[in-house]
Formats: sequence, C-alpha cells, structure tokens
Amino acid sequence: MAFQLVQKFHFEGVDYSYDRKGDVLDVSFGPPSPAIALQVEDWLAIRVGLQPPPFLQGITIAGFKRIFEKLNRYIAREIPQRMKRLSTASVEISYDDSTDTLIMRVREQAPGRRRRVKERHPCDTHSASVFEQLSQAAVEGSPIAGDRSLRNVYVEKSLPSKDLVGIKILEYTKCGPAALEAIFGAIIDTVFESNAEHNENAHLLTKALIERFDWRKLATSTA
Amino acid sequence: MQEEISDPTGFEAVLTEACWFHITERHPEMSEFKRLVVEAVRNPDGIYLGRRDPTRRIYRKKYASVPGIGNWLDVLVFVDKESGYVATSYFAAYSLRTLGQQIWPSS
Repeated sequence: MAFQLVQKFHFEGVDYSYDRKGDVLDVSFGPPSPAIALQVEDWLAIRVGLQPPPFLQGITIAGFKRIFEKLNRYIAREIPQRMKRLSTASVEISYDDSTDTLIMRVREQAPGRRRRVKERHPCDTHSASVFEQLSQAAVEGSPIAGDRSLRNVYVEKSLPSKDLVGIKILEYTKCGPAALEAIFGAIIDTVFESNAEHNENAHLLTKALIERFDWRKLATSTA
Repeated sequence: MQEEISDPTGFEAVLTEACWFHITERHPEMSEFKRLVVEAVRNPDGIYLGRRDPTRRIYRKKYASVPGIGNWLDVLVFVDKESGYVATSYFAAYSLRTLGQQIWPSS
C-alpha cells in the first residue's frame, strides 16, 4: 500500500551562542541537548539529537567570523528586511512512497493582514511553482560524482517571482544520502569557491538559507 | 583549572575552564568526556589544518564505543593554531568531506 509521510519543523525556539575567543557559533533548535554531529565540512557540523526519534538539534560553525564575512558579500543589500526570519520559518518534509520522492518546502509566517487572510482561506495558500534541476552540470552528464548525485535534485520556484520554495529529490531510497551530500557540497562551493562556475540554482538555495539567519543579533554578538 | 596538552608534534593546546564551560553548555553530551577531548589532542589518529580556515588545527580520534552516546564515533577537537586555544569539541558520526589538509601523521 502506498503511503505518504509528512513532518513539519518549526524554528521559533531557535537559540544561539557565539564564543568570540574560539570563533565558534552554536545554533540549536530549542535548548541545547545531547547530540551527535554529522560533519558536512571541517567547519560545519549538523547536530542530530540522541533522543529517539532522530531530530535536527542544531548546527555548529567553527570559524564563524570568516564565514560570516564571506556570506555578507552576498546579502549586504538585503540584510535589513530579512532580520529575524528564521524564527518565523518552518520546513515541511514529505516523502511519497509511490513515487519514491522526498520534497522539502520552506514556509514562512506571512505578516499582518496577509496572514489573517491565509488563515481564513487556507486553500488559497498554494501557488503555482516550477521545478528546475539544481545543477546544470548534472543535466549535461558531468563525470564528477557529486554532480551525478545532483541529477535527481530539483529546486522548486514560485511563479512568477521565481523565489525558492523547496527541494525535490527523486529516487530518494536509492540516491537520497548522496543527493543530500551533493546539495550541501553545492551550497558550500557556492559560498567558498568564487572561481567555480556560476550555478544559479545553487546560489538561490544558498541565499535562501543565509537570509533566514538573524544577522542583526549575530552581528551584535560577534562585535 | 586550565589544562595544557602537548600533541605529537610538540604543539601545546590549552583547554581553559571558560572553553570547557562553553563546550558543555552547548554540547551537553561532552560533559562526562573531558578526558577523551584531552586524549584526542595528546594522542590523535590525525591532525588536520582546516580547509576553509587554515589557522585552525583539527584533531580527530576514533572511539569504538562511547558509553551512553554510541559506537564508532570520532572525537573532533578544534584548536587555534596561534594561541593553542581549544575552541570546541564534539562527537561526529560521519564526515561528508575531508577535514582538511592532514599534517600528522605525515604520509
């Protein structure tokens, strides 16, 4: 029998601490609790809670200031209007067994009147969107393993604004972990490899993640 | 009381009370395992220079079993190359990418 799993993550309990001397930023979703790290790259760890079922406990960034300076290049113009968005965001992850597809969608609480209208008319909240392959290199059959893993990764963009709405991974049971690894790799390369070939969708995904941090509070705590 | 720890290359790392407080405050699973952090610096499986931040020394030591936490976990310790300050430490189950340039043991 086909099934569909849907799980929602809310970030209103986001909490972080910055150790200036060690230049380490710890972000937790809720109070800090025991966890094990999945090391994405030498500076970035995703913490998964020890209590079952596994949950995203937080992230640790070692050498945050250097990274913050690099990220700032991308978002300088947009920082003021993107403050405190992370706490209003939620991520919905759904898996459809019949199509073996995982979809992650980022949702944000609409401000003021728009929110009240959406609450009264929930059916009107679904808008048109389009899917594009995350990596152009994957489309063209790149021999690089990471790019091959991206073949089944699509970004969902709203229409007509083309803002990032979510990510879709096809053949998830076969290539899910490799695809997630490749997504992280694409984001990191977008941030650090300024000479790398421009990948519009990877940039869009990176920007969407970056802009959800409360940069004003971070800037205050790192000053 | 702060601990001064010599690694196999002769480099001295410093684990201060303030740093240990910060580590255990944010990573409470480490509170019972200070000796593993010290051991990872004193007798690591590998020492690396950070790929994105080469001023960072990263110590890795694998443990087959960590009571109450899990099996086959790496203890990672991040140390400032200039001051020797231990910045953070935690257990890692898996690394998607390499930890940087391995400087010890040299191949």
